[in-house]
Amino acid sequence: MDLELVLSAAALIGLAVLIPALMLVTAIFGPRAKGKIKDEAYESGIGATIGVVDQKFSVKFYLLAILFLIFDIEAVFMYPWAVSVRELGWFGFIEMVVFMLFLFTGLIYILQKGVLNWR
Amino acid sequence: MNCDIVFLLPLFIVTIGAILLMLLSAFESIRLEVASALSVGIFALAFLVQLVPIGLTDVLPFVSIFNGMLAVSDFTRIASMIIIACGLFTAMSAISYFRQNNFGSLEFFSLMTFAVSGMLLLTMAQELITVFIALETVSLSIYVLVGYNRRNVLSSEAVLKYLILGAFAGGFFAMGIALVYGALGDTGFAAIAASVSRDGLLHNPALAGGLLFILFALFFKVTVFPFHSWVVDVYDGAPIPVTGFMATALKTAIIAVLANVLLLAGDIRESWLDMLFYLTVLTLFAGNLIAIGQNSLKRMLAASGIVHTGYLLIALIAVSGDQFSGSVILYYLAAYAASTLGIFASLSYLSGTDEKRKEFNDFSGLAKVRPYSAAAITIFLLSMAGIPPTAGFMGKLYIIVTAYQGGHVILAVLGIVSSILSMWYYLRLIIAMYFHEADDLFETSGSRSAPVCAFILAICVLALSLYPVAI
Repeated sequence: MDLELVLSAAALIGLAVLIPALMLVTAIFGPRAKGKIKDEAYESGIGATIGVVDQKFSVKFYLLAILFLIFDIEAVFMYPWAVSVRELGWFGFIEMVVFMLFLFTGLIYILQKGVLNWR
Repeated sequence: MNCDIVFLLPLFIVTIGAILLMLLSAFESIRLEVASALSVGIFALAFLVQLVPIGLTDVLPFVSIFNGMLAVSDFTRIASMIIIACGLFTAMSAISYFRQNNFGSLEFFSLMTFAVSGMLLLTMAQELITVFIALETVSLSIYVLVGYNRRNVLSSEAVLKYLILGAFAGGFFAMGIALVYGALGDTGFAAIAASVSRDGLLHNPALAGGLLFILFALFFKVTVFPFHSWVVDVYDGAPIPVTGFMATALKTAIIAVLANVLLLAGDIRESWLDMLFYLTVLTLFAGNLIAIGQNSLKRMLAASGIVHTGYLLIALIAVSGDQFSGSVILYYLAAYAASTLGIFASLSYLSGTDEKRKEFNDFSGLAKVRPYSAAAITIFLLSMAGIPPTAGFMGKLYIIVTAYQGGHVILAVLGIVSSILSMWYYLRLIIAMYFHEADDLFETSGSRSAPVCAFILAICVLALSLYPVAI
């Protein structure tokens, strides 16, 4: 058994036990002052919170999420391919075209669902 | 190289079909029935392609491109066939359910097809990161399917619980991959197996811990005992066809991964044998105890799914790893899938608007009003309980004989005991259907596709029992 591995495992376990234990200890034994003003929520120097915290937002945001994902994934894969485009040659090019086609179907889907007609 | 594409063709067909269905659902140009028929057609095509036999040895398709990430064998082929058949029958019976409950949209079929493509990838995966990606493809599709009825509170609760469970399992799995990669610098099953058989499992604590995490994540997905906690709620809240799909196709895919991890390198299983033994026993009896306490039919079926996982674990422990063909496991999975899908297809048809019939008592006297439906449900229940002329009996027989031959006599005996215990809740419904008076007319609306489905599956259950398996 490698000593390093044992030590690293011990360090991980130690962290996993120690941090919650410390949090628990401070929660139980730490001094705590309570009061009407102390218990109030505090936000960037403004006394009371503005608006509601658990407000609902439109399910339509999933379309924006898909839009973001499509272009994000595209960029993530395009850059490494662009760097090694010469080594990969036609094989890489065809693979990339297939990949783009898959992404494009996703784009068609959200366009048809009306991601750009924001109401 | 040229025929490699044949091995992956079912995966390609299902994936392209899923994308096609997605585009069609965006344009909303077809009716639900057409989408259902289309997905049935896709699955049927993939099933037919999958009938081409391969031979027992592992074939690595496109080694130069995939670098041994995927392997195809007769085991993966049959597992894929079971999964595709599950998708086919779910797509068929879902239409009856949607027509009765007045909801449903075209995306349902697309999502289900995507889930099936992920499961096909799962059965073939030979490397941890591939397993992870396939697992997430399946999970993401199934999250949406579980919460498909957005107006139902139970359904929303189910999807939240399943999401948390899935996130937990995904976290365990990712941590496991990280530890295994840290230990070996490789994530392939072959490399893990080679390392374990060379140095033993406990030589390398990071490897042992990583494999333990990976096993836990997979156990979450197949509802092994200490990881089963919310599964009954999830199965209860999901729409009936989705519950049937999850109970059968997902279980088949994950058991295939477990078999790949545990058996193809027999030494890994040997190291965990004690843990697997206790988990199996606890899974069998915890599942039975939960099922006995249920009044709702769907919850009972969910809990009985835990028991069936226990039987599959017996098989995983007992099957010899040397000449692994997986025939016992696959036979049991096929028998279980046919009977479970059958009963969920019957329920899709009979449960009525908003699933108003869900308790055992709601089906009192079904045999007097609808004798054929009652007969079909009886066949499925007897198969799940393991009564002779059905496939379920043969499946249990093969598993118990395998356990006995493998020297696991205690597991064989406990398997029989658990089978006797399970009669309690399976026979309850049969008694309610046949020996109680009807106070319901069991009126149903919607298409006839689910009854057709149940009819085909009832024949499958009886026909499968005639199919011999080499142990």
